[in-house]
Amino acid sequence: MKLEEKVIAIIQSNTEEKEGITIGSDLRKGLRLDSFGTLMVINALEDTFEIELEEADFAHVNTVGDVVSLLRDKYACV
Amino acid sequence: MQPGQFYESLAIDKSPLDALRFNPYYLPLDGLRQGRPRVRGETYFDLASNDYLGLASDNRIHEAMTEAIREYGASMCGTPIATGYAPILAELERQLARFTGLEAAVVFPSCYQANVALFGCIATRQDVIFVDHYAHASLGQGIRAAGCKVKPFLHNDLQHLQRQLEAAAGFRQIFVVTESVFSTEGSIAPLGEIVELCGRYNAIPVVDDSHGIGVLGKSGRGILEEKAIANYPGIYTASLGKALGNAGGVIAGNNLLVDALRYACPGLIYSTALPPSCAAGALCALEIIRNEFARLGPTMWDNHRCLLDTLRRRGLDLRSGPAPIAAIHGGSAENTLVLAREFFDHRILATPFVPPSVPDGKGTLRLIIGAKLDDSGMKELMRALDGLSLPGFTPQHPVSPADGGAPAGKLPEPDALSGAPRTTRRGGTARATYLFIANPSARDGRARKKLDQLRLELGRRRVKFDLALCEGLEHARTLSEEANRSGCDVVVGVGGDGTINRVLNGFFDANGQRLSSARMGAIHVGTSPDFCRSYGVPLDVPAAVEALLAGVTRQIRVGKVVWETSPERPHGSASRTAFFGCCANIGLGASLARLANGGIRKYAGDFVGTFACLLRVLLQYRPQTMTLEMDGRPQKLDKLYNIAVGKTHYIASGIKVRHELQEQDDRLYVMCLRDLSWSRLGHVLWTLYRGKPIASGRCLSMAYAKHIRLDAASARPEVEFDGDPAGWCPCRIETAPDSLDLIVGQPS
Repeated sequence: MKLEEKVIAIIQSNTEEKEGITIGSDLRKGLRLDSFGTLMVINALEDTFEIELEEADFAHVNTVGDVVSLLRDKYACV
Repeated sequence: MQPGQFYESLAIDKSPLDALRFNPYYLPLDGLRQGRPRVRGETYFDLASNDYLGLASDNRIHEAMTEAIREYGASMCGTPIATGYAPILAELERQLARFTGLEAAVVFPSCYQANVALFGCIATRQDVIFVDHYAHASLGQGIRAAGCKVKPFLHNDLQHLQRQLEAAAGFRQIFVVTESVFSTEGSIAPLGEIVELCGRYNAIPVVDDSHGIGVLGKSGRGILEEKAIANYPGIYTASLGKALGNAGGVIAGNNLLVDALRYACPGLIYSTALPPSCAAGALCALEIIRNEFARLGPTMWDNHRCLLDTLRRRGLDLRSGPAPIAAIHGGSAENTLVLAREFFDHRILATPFVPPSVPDGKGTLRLIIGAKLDDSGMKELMRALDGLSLPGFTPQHPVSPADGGAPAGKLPEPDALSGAPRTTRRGGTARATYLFIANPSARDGRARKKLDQLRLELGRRRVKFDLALCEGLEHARTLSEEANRSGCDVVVGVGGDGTINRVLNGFFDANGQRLSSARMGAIHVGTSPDFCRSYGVPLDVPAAVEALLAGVTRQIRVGKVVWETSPERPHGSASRTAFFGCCANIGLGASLARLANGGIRKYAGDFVGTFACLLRVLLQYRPQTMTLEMDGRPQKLDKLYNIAVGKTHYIASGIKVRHELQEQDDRLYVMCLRDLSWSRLGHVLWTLYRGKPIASGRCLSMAYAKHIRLDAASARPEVEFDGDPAGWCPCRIETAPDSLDLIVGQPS
């Protein structure tokens, strides 16, 4: 499974918005993630990729694609 | 940072409230009179407070509190660990422990304070707290401040919680935190199952029962009674300021926990104790609940069911859970505030929850009816609710005035606007009944944001209106016809050309006779704007609303088309009639419409998407020989690509037709495109996209006629009008006998 697909699957299982999540989906405006919602996604990413993310990492993350880039560029996830 | 800059950085953006001229927050209430609050001298219905049982205005509680003030003074002026622990506070703690069925309880000045203080006292950095996504802010703040690992789980989702508990390893202690009643939407936690899961994973459950105590359970003892949880092994918190009609908070559990809090919880031991009067009031409330819940509980539930029934009948989008809390989905913050203001204008106090209290787009208006009102009060409330003009939360069902919808102010007689004899301006002091028929799927669903904007604009102007969300284009026509037949003053199509066309069709019977004297309005929120462009209706939502309310009305002549519903011969097996405001196309234009409506415009936009489709259709389309009859004079045209029959300048996605028709002309233009070659294509496109005069020639020709008939010798060319394919030739087109009263953006 590609990294993009993994991230989408993780977000799907940790948000109430199950349908229509794409690489371009906006986490806050589209998927309506609030602070606890964002934390849920961060926890799930940490558990899956065995990394430690900071909420500050997500300050400039807007879309699902940004999450993928963050994981790939900063944490070398594949 | 300079101090001035610092304070500037704290500024709160209240512009949405300012725009609405309505601020429901920090509303000064003059006081209660028989449970009814007063605002600026007016009496309101209180559906905003958490006074579920009406105990806040119970005289017995007032007397108990007064007596305590006489005995102890206004305050003990000390912390509970020092001089603030009055005997009546100790008695309240004993009674709360007994009431909840737990070993011990400790009282805090508020439940918010209790929740924030709790986790700092019991959790360490080596612990993990699983917390429901929708848990109250006080729990969230306390948990985050504790410095331990925080893992939210999806709201009331036991599987999600269990997956996380299974994966939790290496922590000193696990806590699972939830609320009993989630007060924004009234859902109730599956606490029995959560306690069971906690037992399986050595976790300690923590429940905030603020909206459950005095509300849930057969005798009002809260969530533990409701879920029949005996020997609760966890931590229990609750507010004394809701159903108990007082102030303060409580944490209860086993003796060791409560003792630890008494001696080691800074949020308790360094804070001035709850005043004795509040303790006396809460004690009295517990006594009343013990003795009278058998009466108060059923009254509360009956009132709640009655409220829900009325709100449902009004078509409101309810998201209420099983608790006695009515939650109306408001969408955006602006919409939710507009809705709250409508309730306020009808003397009903309700609580709007907007971001950041709730996620974006999930604004909620909460109403708690409780047991406060008797039968006559409930009847009065229902009348107030029936008088609401609900800004756009009535899916599928247009609400006619007879059904209790928007109050119908009859329009004054039209007064002629000088210089524009067929243009009238209506409106003035009386209010029209507006029904907006909106297509939320327009522009592939992106119209929803503009619908929010429309609601806001209407709310700002305090327009009384109803809004029906159609489930499809044909549904829009049905709704429009029903509105015309039920006496609606103004029926407004909200969408793209397709939706607006169907609303237009609802104004006519099959012969082209008007069904009513209603006027039509149009608000563009869809993909194709040719109708609005053609008649001068602003494309910008605020400007369109402004124009609509200005009420400048033109009588426009619309086209009537009769076509075949099946491409199979023989002819005439099934024909249909409809009306169009812009243009009908026979041939290539219909194929183009079919392709362009397939979705490409979602990505490429209206103009580019349609242009790309045009090039593709041109490559594939085979010209035909057709018989065109204009006012009884037939002619055979070979190598025919398309015939456009219309009324307006704008016909599709940037294509413009220069014609000589006047507004009341009962003729239509007939523009033929034939014998097209690649060398001529450039000139044709230049003429049509630039709206240049059409000099009749072999390739592009223009004529005018009142009655047009079209047929093809062999194939059955497709017919479309106002942007949507409809059927096949043969077809007849003429001007409908009755004009349409259309509210436009400018006099002429």
